[in-house]
Amino acid sequence: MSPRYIGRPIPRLDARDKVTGRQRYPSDFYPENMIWVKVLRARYPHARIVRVDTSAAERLPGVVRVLTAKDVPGENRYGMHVLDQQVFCDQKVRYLGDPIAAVGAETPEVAEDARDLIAVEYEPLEVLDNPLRAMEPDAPRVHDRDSNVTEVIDITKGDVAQGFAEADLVVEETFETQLMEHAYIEPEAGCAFYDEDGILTVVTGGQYPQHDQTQIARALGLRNEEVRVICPPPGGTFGGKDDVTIEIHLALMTSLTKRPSKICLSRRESIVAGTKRHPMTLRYRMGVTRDGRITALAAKAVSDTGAYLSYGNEVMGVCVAHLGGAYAIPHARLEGYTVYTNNAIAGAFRGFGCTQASVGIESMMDMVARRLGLDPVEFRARNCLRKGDRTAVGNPVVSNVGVRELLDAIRRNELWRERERIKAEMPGVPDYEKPYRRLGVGAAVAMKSWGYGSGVPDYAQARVRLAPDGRVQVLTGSVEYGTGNMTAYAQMVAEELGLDLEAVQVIFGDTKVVPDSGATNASRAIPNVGSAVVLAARDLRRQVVQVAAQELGVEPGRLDLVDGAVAWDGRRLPLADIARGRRLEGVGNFKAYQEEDEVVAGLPLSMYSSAANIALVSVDLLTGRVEVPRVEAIMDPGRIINQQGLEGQSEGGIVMGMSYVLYEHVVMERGVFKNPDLSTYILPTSLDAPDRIENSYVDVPDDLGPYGAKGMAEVVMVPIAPAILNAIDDAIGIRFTRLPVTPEEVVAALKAKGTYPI
Amino acid sequence: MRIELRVNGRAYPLDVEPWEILLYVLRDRLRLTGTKYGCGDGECGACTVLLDGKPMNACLILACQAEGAEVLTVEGLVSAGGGLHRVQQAFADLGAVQCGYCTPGFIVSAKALLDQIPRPTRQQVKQGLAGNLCRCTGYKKIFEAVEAAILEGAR
Amino acid sequence: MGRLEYVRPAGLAPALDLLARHGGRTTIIAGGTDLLVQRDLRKVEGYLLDVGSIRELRGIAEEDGQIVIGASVTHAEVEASPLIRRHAPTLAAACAEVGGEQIQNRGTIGGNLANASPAADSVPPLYTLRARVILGSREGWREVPIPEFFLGPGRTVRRPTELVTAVRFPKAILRIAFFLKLGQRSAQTIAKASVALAAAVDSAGHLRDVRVSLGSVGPTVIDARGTAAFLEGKAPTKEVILEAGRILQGEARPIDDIRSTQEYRRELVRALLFKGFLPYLRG
Repeated sequence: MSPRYIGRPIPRLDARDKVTGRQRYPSDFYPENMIWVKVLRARYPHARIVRVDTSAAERLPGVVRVLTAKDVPGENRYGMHVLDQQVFCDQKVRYLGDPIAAVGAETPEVAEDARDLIAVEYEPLEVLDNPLRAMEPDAPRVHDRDSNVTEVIDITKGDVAQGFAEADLVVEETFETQLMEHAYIEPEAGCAFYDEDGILTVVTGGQYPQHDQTQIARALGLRNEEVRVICPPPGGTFGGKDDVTIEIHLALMTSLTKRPSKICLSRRESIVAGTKRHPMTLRYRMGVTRDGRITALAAKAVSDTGAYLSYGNEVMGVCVAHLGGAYAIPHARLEGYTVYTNNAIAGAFRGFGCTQASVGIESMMDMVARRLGLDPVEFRARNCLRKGDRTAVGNPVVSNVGVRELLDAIRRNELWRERERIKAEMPGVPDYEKPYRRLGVGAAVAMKSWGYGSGVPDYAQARVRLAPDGRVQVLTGSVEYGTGNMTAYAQMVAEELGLDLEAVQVIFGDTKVVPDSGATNASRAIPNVGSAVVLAARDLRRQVVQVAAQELGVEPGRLDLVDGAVAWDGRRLPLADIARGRRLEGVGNFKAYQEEDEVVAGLPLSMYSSAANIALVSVDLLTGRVEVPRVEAIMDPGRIINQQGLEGQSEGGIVMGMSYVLYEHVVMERGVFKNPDLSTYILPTSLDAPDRIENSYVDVPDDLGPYGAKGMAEVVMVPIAPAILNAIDDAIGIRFTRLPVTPEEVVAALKAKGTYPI
Repeated sequence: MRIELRVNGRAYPLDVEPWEILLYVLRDRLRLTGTKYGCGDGECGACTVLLDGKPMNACLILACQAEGAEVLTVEGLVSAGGGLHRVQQAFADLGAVQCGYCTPGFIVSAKALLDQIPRPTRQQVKQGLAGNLCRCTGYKKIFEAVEAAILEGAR
Repeated sequence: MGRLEYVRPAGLAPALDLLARHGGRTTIIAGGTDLLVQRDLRKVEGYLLDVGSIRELRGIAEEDGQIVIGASVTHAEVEASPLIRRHAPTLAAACAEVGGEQIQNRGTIGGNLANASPAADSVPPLYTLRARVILGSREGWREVPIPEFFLGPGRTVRRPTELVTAVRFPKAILRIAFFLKLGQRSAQTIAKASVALAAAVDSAGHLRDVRVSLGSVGPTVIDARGTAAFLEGKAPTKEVILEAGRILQGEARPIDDIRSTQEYRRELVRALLFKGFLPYLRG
């Protein structure tokens, strides 16, 4: 029987609430009798705190409470893995986002005025704004530890010297990527209150309610079950709301004042305090034979994780695992260094290290192909990984990745086949402008892991419950931050239980009612949490069938679930009848694939999805401005659960990746943010997005995810950046290795090359 | 100062300070939270409302300046019977919504665009929405939804 | 904190009265799209004069061969005006480049002038239109040629007792006219540099009555007289325009800031001039 819901372009179940303004986001909660909270942050990027005087603030009428480090009843520390951040700093500040105090007041204005009345005496220290300086032995330490280097990854596979000796050509290049802001449209916001059972409750736009719960409880000296975290749909996250920012401040304010509290970060605070994408320096050296076989790769990445680690080591683990891209490389030395500085905290951001690595490897692939005189797609095809191969770091590819199929699809694609004609014709460009414009076409592929890899347990629980009215509730700890996972879960459950979609209710993100499904990140919400949902649905189905069989005296094998009822021999028993007087609940416990033997890297990843992009760029030689009028997005999603949702991920990922390579840059000078607002931190508008984005798919099913689905949310934004870099090179013969590629850089490069036209 | 704001056809008598911003009055006082804060600088368009039919950023309007004008927020687009405006319906049906936080601003801007230009070209759609930022969708499905709403309006 | 009193008169006379009495303690607001970004009015005392409802400041009219735009006319209204589109297409084009729709519907021409940002998009075309700013006070009216109106970033010759009431410019037949701007993105963007040019063309194909101005490359918009003088009477050949571009670079006074660099901006003014002339190039 063909599926009723899986693979169909089902509109999002939350769409109606979102188009009417009824959806309540974390910033939309106004608990009765609440106070507004504003946080005082550091004035210097690196300084010793000599004294904090809150007395003037406390005297301001309307102020309810001022909090500092001395008010933290539990452990004054938190962090994603390493607890290196403080709820309120007491000794030292390490970047401009560091919190020193928080004010709770009757109005936001009073809170703000009181915050400005807090006097802090500092003793400024040397600001470490460059990871290379921070790595030097005489550099001051950001934290009280031996070195500012948080972790060194150094993996050798095979015999690297031998590999380079076998090479006919060795190509070297260094790439630099920039600090990037998530720029979710809703800045961090939330509230705290005591719920109807007297439990301290925090509403926040987080990505992992149970982890937030643990962090809050630890700081408040409470047990986890004494804290409840609710994560309603936030206005975007992209990894940036995985870390704690406001949650402990809210909980503490409410627990000490016994009044509900609310925080809405301003855009400026959000940019200063929140995490970013790691800036990295990636040094590459690749050896190849004349006929286009990669013999060796030496690659070294240095990342600036800023003042605190967040996911810094994990990002580097994923980066190193992807330094060799989608290619089989026999001999490799791959190194990664993560370094503390006094810059913005870098953490999780869609692509998670793979984005940066792909800028390096996919640029290298084009550069080397050009030196070899080989077609860049053919060069990739001669080296591409398939299921069962080992990646450059030596981990096995367990997934059925479709990299070869993607490369074939690039070659068949009209934009690729007709690229020379399109470049010559310059469609839409007036004749008088043609001498001053160049078009270029570039392609790139990326293979990105999903889930956490064998180093980190990756489990998810989901529950599917039969409600008394015969409808079904799905409970997961996942969060719906826009990717459509809740709609996908409803589709899965409706499919498994033969229900109308309307009969499925998805409940998520509330520690009081949902199980722990792990974090909503790492492209794991569909393959891993989705697998748990399917297991839970099947468990419930088994129970329903068993009950019905007993009740009816019919062989279980003759029963089917159709249209909200148990059906057999043309007869029906509605699920509501089965639900009566019973609590039936299916439980799904899913543990992601873990590699047992030969664990090589810190994060041995083995499950992958892949995607390819072909980008058409148009370079204005006079101004240096690069536009991207057309992108072909070819994906390897395995079985598609919801095509509308997948297309949305792809299109959004492409514009985000385009913006990464052309526009965005959190500029910091000596630890100070130079563009912490949306007027100077540039996001693309409707007029900057490509005129055409075409989605297409290769059909390479996998058996690791539900129904053969792969995790796609990150990989769809990865290949576009190098595809654009390759297209720019194709257009003007200049290889850019530093992001973003601004008009300033383009004009300077054209002039240096002697090809600036006027 | 005492003012009367007219929002979505209803009159709200209010006491406001001269410096109070319309966005926060709508949200914090009237609890019309469909209008969103994104930047406070008139860059993101998440707070777009119609003032006498024209889209404007509620973060850059004083509440007292809005007195005497007809303010329409996303909540005011839904008919009394709960029916969606054709722009809302098209956004919901065609995947123009992901996290949805920018959506009310886009819908309000798109409604104003179609009121002004009933059959805009793709370029006019893009220009009409250039004051609204979306970080999730890449805009494509938003353009397609507005164009579907044109067709719906032509029927 | 002191008190701020909001005043929104419907006519000009009470507004000028207020300025005559309390000009030094009055903050003027029109659309508010600059003021509310720049200043927290909670920290401001005195009077807040909202000029948005003053009927005398509304409307675009033709009077004695001159186009007059009231100070409270919005960018969207300028852009949509058939009169402006016919007689000052570059001004219409520039107003379409101000922010997004939301800002264009709110921000006013008078506000754009009084705010005195060197990056104000409407201003370079007003230079090439030889516009005059009209300032009113209880004492009467005075007119200031636009290059003399601006003193520096955020500074103008407006006295505290005065209000910008209108801007006017003569109609002229200018065959070549363009406003080109490059910002960090395609819309909702502040110019790294902008170039406005207007010129007539005589029967021999030579440029006449040339006016050139530059935005975002100096403390005020720059009236590029040297470049205009160079182009006067010449046919717009590639060589002439490239040479004019070099002169224009000399007239620009760009700086480094978060949006661009001095070096690039200097290059950009020449590139924009050349780009603007591309459809008209001869020879």
